[in-house]
Formats: sequence, structure tokens, C-alpha cells
Amino acid sequence: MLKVNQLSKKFKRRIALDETNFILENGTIGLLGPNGAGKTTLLRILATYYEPTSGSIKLNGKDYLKNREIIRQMIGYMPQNIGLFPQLKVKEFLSYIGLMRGIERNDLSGQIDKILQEVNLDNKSNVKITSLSGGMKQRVGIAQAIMHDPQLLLVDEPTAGLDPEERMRFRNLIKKLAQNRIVVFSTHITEDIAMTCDKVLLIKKGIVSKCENIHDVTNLASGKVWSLAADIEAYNRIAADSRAFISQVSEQNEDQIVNCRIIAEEQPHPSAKQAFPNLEEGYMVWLQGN
Amino acid sequence: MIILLSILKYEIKQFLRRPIWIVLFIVSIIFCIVLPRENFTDIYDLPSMVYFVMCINLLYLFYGAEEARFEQRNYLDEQVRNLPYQNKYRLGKLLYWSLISFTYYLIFFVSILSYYLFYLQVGFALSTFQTTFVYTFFIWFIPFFFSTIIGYILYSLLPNISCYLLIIIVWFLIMPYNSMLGFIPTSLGAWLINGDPNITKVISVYDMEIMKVNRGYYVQRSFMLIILVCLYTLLTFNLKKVGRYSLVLLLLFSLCIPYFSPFVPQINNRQTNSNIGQKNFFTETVLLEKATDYTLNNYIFDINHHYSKHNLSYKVKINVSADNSDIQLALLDDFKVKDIKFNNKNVTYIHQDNIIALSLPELHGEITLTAETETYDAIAPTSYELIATTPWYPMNPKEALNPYKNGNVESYQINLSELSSVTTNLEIANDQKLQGEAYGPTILKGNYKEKDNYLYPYSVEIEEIQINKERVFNEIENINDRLAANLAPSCESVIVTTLYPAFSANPSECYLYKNEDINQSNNIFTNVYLNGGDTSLFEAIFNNVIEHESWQNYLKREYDEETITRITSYYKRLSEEQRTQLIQKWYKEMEGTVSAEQMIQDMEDKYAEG
Repeated sequence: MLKVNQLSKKFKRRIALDETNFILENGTIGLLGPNGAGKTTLLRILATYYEPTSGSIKLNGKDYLKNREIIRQMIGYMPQNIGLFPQLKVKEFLSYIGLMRGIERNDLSGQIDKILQEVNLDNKSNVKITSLSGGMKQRVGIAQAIMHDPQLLLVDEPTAGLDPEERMRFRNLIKKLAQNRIVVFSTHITEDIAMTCDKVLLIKKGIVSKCENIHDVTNLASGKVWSLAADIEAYNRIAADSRAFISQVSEQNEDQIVNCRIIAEEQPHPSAKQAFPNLEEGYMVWLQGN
Repeated sequence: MIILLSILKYEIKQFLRRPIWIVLFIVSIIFCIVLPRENFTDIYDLPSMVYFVMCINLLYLFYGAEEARFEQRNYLDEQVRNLPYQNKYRLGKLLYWSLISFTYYLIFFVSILSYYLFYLQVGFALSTFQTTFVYTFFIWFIPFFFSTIIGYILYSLLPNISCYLLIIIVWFLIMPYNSMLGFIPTSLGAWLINGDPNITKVISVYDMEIMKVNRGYYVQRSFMLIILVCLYTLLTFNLKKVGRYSLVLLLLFSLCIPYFSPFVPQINNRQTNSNIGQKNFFTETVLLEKATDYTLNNYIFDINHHYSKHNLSYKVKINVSADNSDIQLALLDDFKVKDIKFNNKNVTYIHQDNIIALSLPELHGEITLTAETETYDAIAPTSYELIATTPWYPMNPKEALNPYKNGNVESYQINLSELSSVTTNLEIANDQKLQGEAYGPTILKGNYKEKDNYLYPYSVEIEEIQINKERVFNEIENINDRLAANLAPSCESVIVTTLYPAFSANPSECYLYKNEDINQSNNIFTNVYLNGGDTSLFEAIFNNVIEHESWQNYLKREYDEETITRITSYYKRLSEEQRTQLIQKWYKEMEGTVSAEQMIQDMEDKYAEG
């Protein structure tokens, strides 16, 4: 269990994280928020990279402040920009990181082989990291974060830059890893959250709100999502209306009709029909409401 | 320990897989040996590689900066900072940099030694190797290592292209360039220096004096190590607040070391060296007969040689008995007088142009004089030569001008701060004091040998000195013939000097410079035959060089061009016999201090005689 109590972080006068409280259990927790909301700051604090300005964190009963070295052995962290030694081979890199994680030398080799299989890189173990594709590097990043079987896994924007296949593979891996640990998965791609997470932490301007499940977020847009097949003129009028927000657009070229989904408190057009909201729309409503 | 070794292993692997640095390092070694190879003659030349070593340091500064840039480009800080052994990783990086710089140093050092041994075929003793190794360890290896850390710290603090400009500025300030150009005061620069603090050549009985590492080096290198490691640790280690504050305190404390350290790294930065040599003593002050008519006796010295600071100070008590209250004492300007007392009361004095003028309250009593020197060439960090014929101590100017003719025997008692490796013309008493009677005290510190009334540097063979002495006697015979004089220094005992490049003598001792090629005949002539005053015209005539352009330029400092032209033109017209007659006359009547007018007049008369 990860217990965060009154956690704050200030950089000089700027508040990056403001009196945050939440408790997390095993499973995948999405950390969703716009750019600059404080996602990376929160993850870095949880990863012990930053020290909080105030507040406390406990992981399975261990206080971060008093047991920093023990905590570091309990967590795995995959930063947004994965730190890699490009001249080392995949296996060498993992050995190097493994040693610095305190994994016994005797266990290391077996552990690495297992992890490489898990991230589907067993055929690349003797390839230099500099020669790997972006997706493979992400997988090396996740491998180094889970090789010591951490109780808390922190992944920061892991799917950015991945092709659809890699992204799919990555989501499955995260899902699998979350079976017996807490995985905090930071992203601003709602699709990733929808596909992998059980719970969501919404974060904006350093303030965190917790939603117990994905539907809670989706439901925020309940009754506010409209679908409409409109001509160009009507579409332009809605687009110019500050009370409405177009969340999805698809153009039909032949008869100049535009299919779109609109978030609005009131019916934006006489032909608009209410639609079931998705996570992204719930998130947008939450963003606008905050 | 295993983790540190593993870190080393992986860092070395990465280093070997980035060939650019290997190539740069190897090329730098090749350049540093090939380019200055013409100047390599002996192992003692190593300090003259200062420019090349500075360039290598710049390379290491860039290497350190590139290490920091590499980490930032590959986001390694965030990657490793949350690892349980991140501090060991940072420590491992320090070890790795020390290993890289040490390996580089070792290859560099061995390459140069091999070049000397196998190409130049210069052999050297084990002690020479030891001195060289210690010197290069402190002046090459440690600065290379420190440069890496400095480069890393600078780029970590200023992670952009302007950092490289900053590195070049820092390089100028902390390299021996600062000693040469004085961007920042050398007293401060010596503490910041990351290279050789003593780039001025030091002449000493020890050929490798300049390579002797003094305590100041140890203190300075430790000072720099503490500062750099503190900064590096603060920048990179995961530390608790207590640890961080302790490091800041240690850093502040270390910054105070230069203020209270009794040892200084810069023992030798002499921009205003004394001009000893040629003549023992020279003054343009008019010496008054009455002011030099006194006797000095019963000298009691307390002498301190400050090895680390490369200076020497003493306090001397002397009994004086004078006929007049105003007296003149000879003391080289290099020895700065702190105070003079007469019978324990301060007296006023003027010390300039190698002469102290003072007024005695009474005609008989005890003078106490305290003096210190930092500039006297005959004092090296680990050795010195204080010889009886030179006014390094207060003596009568007449004796200083010509110790052979005007020397007097006095009694001496000398307490030395350090008696080891001291050789003297006095006796070493049981209580470790030097005492006895002599024409002046001679104290040599360093490795000297004594055999058959010869006292000479360890590096010289007695046969060489005997040949040198014979040559001196031949010269004296020649000069006697030319001047119709009959001077004959006994050279009962012969003392061979290294730091004092001139011949001089008193009635019982002769002082020979170790190298016979150093213009012996001119030294003998000026130091034994000539008295005070300006003898430059006489010397030019005697040495038959009045027509030489260099001498004429020299004489132009004292005489106008027309006078010199007239002397030269008359000189040309005189026969060899007439010249000899005039030389003998001028020596006999004035001991060489003939004026230009007198010289022209005498030459006119002689020419007129036909």
C-alpha cells in the first residue's frame, strides 16, 4: 500500500504539488493530467529523485524519509527520458543497473534472462543499446525498472513515441506487472489509461484528485456529450461557440456533412443527440471544471 | 568493494567503446613527446614540458565536461539517482576518472622515460627516478585527475556551450600561465593552481631541485582535493541534510587553509631575482674612508631557512668598535633589514645600493640586525650557499669589495634551524652550533663532498676541480704578468659552488664555480684584482673588447657616445706595448677605477709620446 499524506513540493515560490493525499493498492493507477500539471514531479518524489517540501509517504508501512535506501530497493522507476548507457549491450546495462540496485551477483544473470523474456528482448541481449529502436529502448527501460521485482513501479509517459504495435504490447506488459504490485502509470494519453488502468489520479496545477475507477471519470461527462451530423455552416457555428467543445470530428466529403462529438451542458444543435461519453471526454469535462 | 570494481569495469567498457577519447589521449601523448623532442637532453628537462602538460590539462577539463554532457544527454542522473547504490556509482565515477588519468599518466611517463633511456640513451639513478616519479605524480597525474572533476563540475553547473568558454578562462587562471602572466595574485594563484606552482628554474646543488616536491604541494593538493570532492559530492550524491551541511562546513573550513597553512606551494616565483655573479659585491654609493674605518667581531647568528617558503632569515649580533659614529656596512639589498639595534636600542638606518648607513649612539657596543631574504639566488628550497666572500651578512664594504685584499679574521657563533646536510668552514660544536674564527662564515646546505681541503657538490668529480683550480692559477699568473702585479691567492682550501656563479677568494679560501666554462678569467680579474667604483672602462680595455658593439652599448649606459668614440679611436692608434703600459699604470694607481677623462688624457699623452 502506498500512502501519501499532505505531500507538497515547491520549487522556489512555485507550487508544483499542493497538499496531496491518496492511498493506492496493488493494480494499475493512471496518472492523468495536462502538460505541466505536476505528474513528473509527483513521480519523481515517489521515485525518491526529489525530496518533498512537506508531507509524508509510506510504502507498505515504510516511511520514505526514514528508510530512503530500503524504499529505493522497493521501487522501480522508468523515467520519461530513460537513462541508458548507450555503449553497453542490453545485458551489460541490466547487469550494471542490477548491481546498483543491490541484486546479488549470483542471481543477476538468471534474473536478467527472465526479464528479457518478459519484455520480449531475449534475442537482443547482446546488442548495443545505441543500436536499438525507440520501442526496444522503452522495453529496456521497463526491464531495468522491474528486474528487482519492485513493490511500486513508476512509469512516466512510457508510450510516447511508440508505434501502435509497441504501444499495445507495452499496455499488456503493464497490465501483467500490475497483478502483484502497485503500478503508477503517468500519461496524458487517455487511451492508454482506458486500456490499462483500474483507477485514475487526475492532476492539474499540482492538485491531485483520485477516482476509484475509470467510469468515475467517464461519468463526469454524462449527459454532456452530444453527437451530431452537421453541415459546414452549423459546424462552424458550434466551433465558434465557447460553451461547446468539439471532442471528435470526422468529415464526409461527398455531401459536406461533418460527424462530430460535442461536449456541452446544453443541446448545441436541434439535431444533436446525446451520446455515451468516453474517458477522454470525462477527462475534458474534469479539466474544464477545474 | 565488488560493486566499485564492477562500476569500474562497466565504465571502462564504455570508455573503450568511445574511441574518440582513446584517440585524443594517444595523439596527445605522441605530440607531447614528438614536438619538444629536440629540447630533451636530460631527465631534468621534464619541468620544461609545462606547456604540453597545460594542454593535456585542458584536454582533461574538456573530458570532464564531456562526461557531464554525456550524462545529461543520456538522462543518466535521473536514472541512477533513485538507485540504492547511487552514491557508490558516483564514488565509482571518481575512481574511474582517477584510473583513466593515472593510466594516461603512466603511459605518458613511461613513454618519456623510454625515450630518454632507449632513444637518447640517458641513464639515471634510482633516486633520480624516484624524484621524477613523485614530481610527475603531483604535477602531472593529480592535475589531470583534478581537471576532469573541474570540467565535470563546471558543465554540471553551466550545461551549455558557454561552459567551454568558461573552462578556457578557468584553465588560464589555474594553470602555470597565471604564474607567468599574473591574472590573479600569485599568492592566491599558487593555491588555485592545478599544475606546477614553481615554473621558474631553480639553480641548486641538486640538479633536480625544481622537481623536489615540498610540503606546500601536499597541502595544496589536499586542499584542492577536499574542495573538489566536496563540490562533486554536493552536486551528485544523495545526502541527508546533516551530511550536506557538514560538507558545506568542510568546504568553508578548507577555503581557510591558505590563510593558516605554514607551508606554501609556490616556493619559487621570483620576478625580481638578485644579480649575483660576476662580482661579489657592487655599489654606486660613495664609500667614505671614515665610515669604513671600524672593526667588527664576535658575530652571533640565529639563522632560519624556511624550506617551504623558500626564504632565509637571520638575527645577528656583532661587536663593533669605530672611530666615528656614522658608519657604512655592506649588505646585499636582497636581504631586507627588519630592524637594527645598538646595545638593544633601535637605531635609524638607510639600506640601499647594498650599503647600510647608520649612526651609532656610541663608538663601541653591540649591533643587533635582523634580516630576511626571499630573492637571493643562492638560496634554493632545499639547499643554499652562504659564502664568506659575499655580504649576505653585515661586513665592512672594503672587505666586500675585495675580500682577498681586505679580509679580516673574526669569530663566529652560529645557531642554525636545521643542521642536517650542512657543511661549513667553521667547527660544528657539540651543542650543534657552528663556531670558530674565519675570514667569514661559509655555510653550504646540500649534498657536498669533502676531500683534501676541497669541498664540492656531490655531482662533481675531484679531478674536475683540480683542473679548474689549475686553470685559476694559470689565469692569475697571466693577469699578474699583464698588470705587473704579484697577487697570489693561496687557495688553501677550495670550495666549489653551484648557486654562486663566480670566482672569489679571501686569504685562506678560494671559491670556484663548479663549471669551469663560466668565464673564469673575467671573474678572477674582477673579484680579486679590482676594488670598488666603476671599473667598466678599465675592464673593456684590459679584456681588449672596447671596440665590440656589445661592450660599447654597455658603456653607453654610463658614458656619452662621443667619449666612447674618442676612447675607441685613441685605443686603436696605440701600440700593444703602449696599451700594456697604460693598463699597468691604471691598475697600479687606481686599481682600475680610472675615469673616462683620465683615460682619454693618458691615451692622448701616450700617443703623443709616440
